Amino acid sequence: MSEIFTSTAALALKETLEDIDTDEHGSEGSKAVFPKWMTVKPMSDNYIEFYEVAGSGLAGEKPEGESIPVGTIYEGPPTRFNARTYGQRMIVSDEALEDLKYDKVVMAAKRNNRSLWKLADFDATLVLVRATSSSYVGADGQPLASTSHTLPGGGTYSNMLATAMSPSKAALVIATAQLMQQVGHDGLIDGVEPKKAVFPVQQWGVWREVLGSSFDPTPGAFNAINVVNRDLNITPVPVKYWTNTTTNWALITDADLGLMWFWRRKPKSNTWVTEDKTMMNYAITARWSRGWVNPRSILFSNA
Amino acid sequence: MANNHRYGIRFVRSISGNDTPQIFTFPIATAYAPTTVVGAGTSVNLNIGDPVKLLEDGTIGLVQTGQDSAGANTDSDDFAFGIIVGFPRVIVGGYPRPGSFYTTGTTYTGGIGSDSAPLVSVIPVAGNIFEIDANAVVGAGTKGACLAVVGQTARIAYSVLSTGNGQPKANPLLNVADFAAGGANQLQLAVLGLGKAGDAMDFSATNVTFQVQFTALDMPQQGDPSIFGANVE
Repeated sequence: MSEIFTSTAALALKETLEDIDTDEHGSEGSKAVFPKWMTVKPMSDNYIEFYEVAGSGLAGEKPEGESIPVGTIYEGPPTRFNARTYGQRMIVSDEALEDLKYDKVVMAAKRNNRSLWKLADFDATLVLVRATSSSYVGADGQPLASTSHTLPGGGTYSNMLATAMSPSKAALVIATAQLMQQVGHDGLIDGVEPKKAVFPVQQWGVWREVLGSSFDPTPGAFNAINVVNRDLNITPVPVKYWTNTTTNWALITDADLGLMWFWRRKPKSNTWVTEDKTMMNYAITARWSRGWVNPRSILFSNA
Repeated sequence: MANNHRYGIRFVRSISGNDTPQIFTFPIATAYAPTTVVGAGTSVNLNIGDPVKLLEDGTIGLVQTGQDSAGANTDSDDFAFGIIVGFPRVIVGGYPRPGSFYTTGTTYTGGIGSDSAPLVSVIPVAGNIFEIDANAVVGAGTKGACLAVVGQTARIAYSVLSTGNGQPKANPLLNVADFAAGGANQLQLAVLGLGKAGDAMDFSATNVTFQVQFTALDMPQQGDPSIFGANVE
């Protein structure tokens, strides 16, 4: 972003304009999408760590007179979230501030605010965009969505639909069944519940029908009840920034320590003057980290 | 997701740590008509973000590619003195006022010392780091591939825009096809890192933004081209 002079927006030097056509600014934080599908928390240190420990498996039969079988625990990988700083500044000349007649032309502080909050949403969405990319892996060496997440005691588990499906009642029945049998850290069937559906906005209509119809929306089966609507409580979350696909989607479950966003510091503004040039600097910075610890927090359909 | 193209070469920071860059102001010669390539190319207006050179007559002109194509100066481009950041004075409707671009072929009377001469504000490339968008996908289209060209050099490539305010616009881009590790002649942009959007860019698409520094400078009376490891026109 280069400096802003009177010439940068020269048509605003005289009051001849009816209105300024520009992006809407204001309340950017409240428009953010990522808090709807990530758990947002503060972090108080430069980095924070999570540690996976797996339990002791199944208990065993103790024949009369023999010792009680022994269990043990297994160490999993640690996950570290490092706070990173993001920001932007705009540099505006005194002359431009004095002469540009419309507040909506420069509004450097508001534009900075929008830029940073948009970046936050983009950055969060990258977790979904890169969900199956082996270049972006979690603590177990697997991408967020994988058929071979590792278990501390050995073995693997999946958090992907075995066969990718378009959103439908049938897809959610199969997905929910898979989640009901999702294994815990010790590899034993534990089960988690779907709570939210995240998807590109192109799917908003079909999700509304699948989740909102009290009767089966499947053609030919309109008399049946829609179990997805009646027995599950899934909140649809269309993610407008998820643009690398129109067909993928994911269910977010109630598993602990899933997709998380940590604010080390929320957006903070600064202004200062470069005295010798009488240039105003408007800056905004924030520090955050995002990611996941427990991949059981989603079930991904990689269509 | 596609990367937003933001026009031109944009100031990012100075190497010295100054908050804001120094600004130089130069006139434009009457009837000056910028073209992207010496003796050929496309006629364009001058816009904020375009690279310019000093013309050794008190005025500035657009950096041009393809100065000559033979001998030691093979594949020669102009070296940049600076990047346009504003036009304190252009002639609009026959009268001077600030403007966001210079219209090719603008004529005026009174010479470059008169109050009619269009003026250009320029951030010198010396000591400053800029952002520029790449004109193609870099290598395998991954973050690693983009980081792997840090330290390499490349040329400016123009991809003229015939739409938008100020059109036709030269639209300088980082020429991905040129990336070379050897610091060859005329590869005047040295890549220093990813642009400000960082991880939020789609590395598999065009318009990935890089931070660059100019390795060679257009300075008056620059006698020995080898000083900068490249030739000078």
